[in-house]
Amino acid sequence: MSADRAPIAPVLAALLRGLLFGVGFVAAVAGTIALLNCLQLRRADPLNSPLRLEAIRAAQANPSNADLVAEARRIDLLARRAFFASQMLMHRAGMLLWVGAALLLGALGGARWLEPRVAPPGSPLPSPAAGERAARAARRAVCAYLALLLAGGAAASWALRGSARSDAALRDAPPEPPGASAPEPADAPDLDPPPDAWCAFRGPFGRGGTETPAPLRWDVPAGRNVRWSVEVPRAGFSSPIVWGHRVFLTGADASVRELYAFDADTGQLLWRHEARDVPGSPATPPKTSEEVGYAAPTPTTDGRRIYALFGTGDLVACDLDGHRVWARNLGVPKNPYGHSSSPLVVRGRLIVQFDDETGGRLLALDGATGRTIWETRRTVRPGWSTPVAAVREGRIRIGVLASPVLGVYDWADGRELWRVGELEAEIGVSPAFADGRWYAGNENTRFVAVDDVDGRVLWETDEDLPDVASPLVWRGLLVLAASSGIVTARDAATGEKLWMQEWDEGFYASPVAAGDAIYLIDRGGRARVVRASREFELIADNPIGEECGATPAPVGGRLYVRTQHRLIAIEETPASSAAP
Amino acid sequence: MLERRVVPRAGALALIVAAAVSADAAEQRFPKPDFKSGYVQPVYHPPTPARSAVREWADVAVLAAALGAAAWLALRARSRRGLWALSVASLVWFGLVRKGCICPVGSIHNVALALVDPVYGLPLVTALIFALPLVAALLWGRVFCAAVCPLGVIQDLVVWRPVRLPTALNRALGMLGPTVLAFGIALTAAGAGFWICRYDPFVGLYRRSGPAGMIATGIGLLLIGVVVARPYCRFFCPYGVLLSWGSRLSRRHLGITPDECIQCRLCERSCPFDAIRGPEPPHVDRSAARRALVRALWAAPLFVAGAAWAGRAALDALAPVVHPAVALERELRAEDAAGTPDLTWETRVFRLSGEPRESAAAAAAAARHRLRLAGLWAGAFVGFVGAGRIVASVRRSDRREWVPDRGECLSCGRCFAHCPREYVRLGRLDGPMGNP
Repeated sequence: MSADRAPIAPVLAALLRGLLFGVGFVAAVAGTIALLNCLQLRRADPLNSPLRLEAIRAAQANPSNADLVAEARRIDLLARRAFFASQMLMHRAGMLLWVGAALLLGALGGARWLEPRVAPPGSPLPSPAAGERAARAARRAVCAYLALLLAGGAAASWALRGSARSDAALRDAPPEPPGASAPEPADAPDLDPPPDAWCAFRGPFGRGGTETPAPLRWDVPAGRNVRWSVEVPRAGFSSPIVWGHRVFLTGADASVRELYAFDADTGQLLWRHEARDVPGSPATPPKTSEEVGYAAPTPTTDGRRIYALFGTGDLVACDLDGHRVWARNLGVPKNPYGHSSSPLVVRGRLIVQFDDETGGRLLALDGATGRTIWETRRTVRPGWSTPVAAVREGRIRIGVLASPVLGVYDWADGRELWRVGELEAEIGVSPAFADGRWYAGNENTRFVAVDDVDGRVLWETDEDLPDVASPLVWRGLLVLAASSGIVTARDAATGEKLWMQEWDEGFYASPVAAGDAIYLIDRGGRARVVRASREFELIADNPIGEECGATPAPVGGRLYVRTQHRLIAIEETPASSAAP
Repeated sequence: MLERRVVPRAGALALIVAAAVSADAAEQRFPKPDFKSGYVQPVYHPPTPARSAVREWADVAVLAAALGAAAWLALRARSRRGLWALSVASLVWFGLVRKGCICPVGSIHNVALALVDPVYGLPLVTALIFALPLVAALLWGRVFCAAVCPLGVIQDLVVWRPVRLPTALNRALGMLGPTVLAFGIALTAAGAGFWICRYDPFVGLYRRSGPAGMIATGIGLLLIGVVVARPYCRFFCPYGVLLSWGSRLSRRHLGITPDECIQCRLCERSCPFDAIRGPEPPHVDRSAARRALVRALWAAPLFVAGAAWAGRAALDALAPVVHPAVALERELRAEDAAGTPDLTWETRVFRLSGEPRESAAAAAAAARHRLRLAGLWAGAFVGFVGAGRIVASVRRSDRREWVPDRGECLSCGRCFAHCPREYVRLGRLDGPMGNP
């Protein structure tokens, strides 16, 4: 035993060893109990026992049968007791384990500290004074660090007092006008999201355009100006939306429906959220056509949540990290081709157009909870059109097109403001709004421009109308891309035809605009970029290399394109943009 | 006599199991409510991992295999070249291919969140990624740091002219790791996000993209690493703190000499991490040492209390910077006062959401409360670690030869590669060798 040890040390060490044996035993027992309990819970969860579930189902099916209800309640109570007893056991065992393990380590440290050690003889030692100096330096260094931490805390506290003063000054500021804390639409007529967000089908509120220019020239098969190209796990006709550094997309088949988030910079799939366990979701999905599928509606986001609707009527809201916030089923759509109308979130309310063979419904749901705020019934036929939002005199209005009417509704209460009829067809085209005018129509019926104030038809045409791609109104131009391959540009105010161009392949993707350029992607996978002008000017004819039916998202200087199997980000490099 | 490290290892394993069990307990659902009310208890639906389950388990298997290989190379084969080759392989696989995504360092956040948030379920794969290097440290020392961690190996490859830092500076910088660990966990627990991941300096280099500050920090640390070896691992890495604790209790650990120490001190010079400890003589003045010990023990509660107060004040002051709910409330209030709404994305999104203004204030107040509490605990932890180190510095170990410091040794193998006795073992020198 080394001579510098106090005589009490062996006694203390023995005591500590005894303590640690005891504590170690307790910790081991607690850990074993917790693990066994955990395994037992995994094998037989009382809450999901068939007996309980069956009893509840029987009681729910016959709520008037008092015996069944009483029996179900009794079984449910037993299950709850078992569950909570198990939870309590787990909690206590976990706590015991933590405390035991911590005490164990502490006791052992003490035992080792007091343990006598025998120094091997004969080894040369460095200067003892040098060792003392090093130890002193170490102590002082740690003291200095802690003192620095204290000084940091004091500085933070002092700074906090300053900010508290400024906070108080803010509180003492003149009282806000009524409603300023939650301003009415009249106070904020501009509903635009941040500039690099493309937050719904055809962009913010379905306008279809952004002032930020996007790439003009690229070649996907050759890899020119392709920032990344990734495979999408499941197919779908929904279009990409973008918020911040994330691109969102849906994909589905008859068995699985998913929402995806990709890194906008790298294309890496960040997360995927499966829309399962949605209350009311049908056990067997409805039949849909191949051209619609189960993931035709484009998701929408308000920067807090992403909302995705699927062909089963399942509506899922997730946070930006993919955790579910709420989900509900809106009813199984009875639609001959399948549901394809996209939801649209406007000032915290999710607007859903749900038109099927049972009639038309326009719903406004609370974005935070999924609760229905209002529902407006409409007498229309099944349709595939998506609602569009617009602001006029501080009031948000929702434009909805379905055979046979274009209707405009008040965002606040769902009241119909006016309607225009004689639009009878299989409506797949969404309306558009610009400069106080609504534009709506479809192949096999007419196309109208309507005054937003009173629903008066300003002009109409029936030439070369689309039946899938929606109209684009941009810089005074109305652009219609038809399934026949004919693209027409008209004066949006008068309806005068300005130019017409015909290509071999038709258009399912809606035209979009970025800056001065209009992007037209045909079904065969060629993207024509034309100048937004009264004269036709083809800027570029860019190959994508795959069939394409989704509407691209021009945002943040990039163009995100969904093809049949892939998601592609197109971005011009400085070198390529400098090239002729 | 009880074998010295059996019980501590058992204790540490119990802690890891406790973390796993607690995380698993957090996954348990609340019971479904009574059917009669019609209310349906919401079920937690986490996002499905972006990668397939097979590939995720393959990542775990590769990590386990790499840890095993590193342990074999460091302890059994004693091959510095082998460790270097494994480092390069880890750099390629975990860094360039997987882009730093299999990351035990960041998994600290997931485990911490699982412990405090009852609705957050810790995926088993993440729990394993967190636990495997710790278990390896308990068995074989910091073999994860030696040649597996992508953040470590990239720094190891740039060590060129390492200098020995003064003891005082080394010890003071050594307190940064526990501080990062404590406040990283505190911020996660308070709902402020994953700040350790946010300031991961090298992941941006592996992904070839990221914020300019992150890339610059990574490059800066690599430049510093030319002369101060592996600065992030030694002074900032929060996971290294946990590994260090595990390694101190390890069952086996890399040894410098294969048989006897000839006191040549070549190993000390070869170690770029100042992790070789030499002979330590007993105290010159034992009474002075006792007085120092008493002072340190008396001061310990003061250190803990002071650091706890400082931690609380720091997170309270930093709340608008670190917590999005507090930042939003502050910005909303400033905009309301100035009459200039929607200056930022966040305020614009909040106003567009139509949520009542009071909800933002309530969320901010709750967040501030959580931050203060978390800061208090984090500060107390840092104070406790500091006080413990001060007390420990009074102690003399009676060590008579040169050995690796089990806590700080990264098991890189440079020391045995420089040991003359190792050369004798390999038959490259004639023995026996005496003291130089």
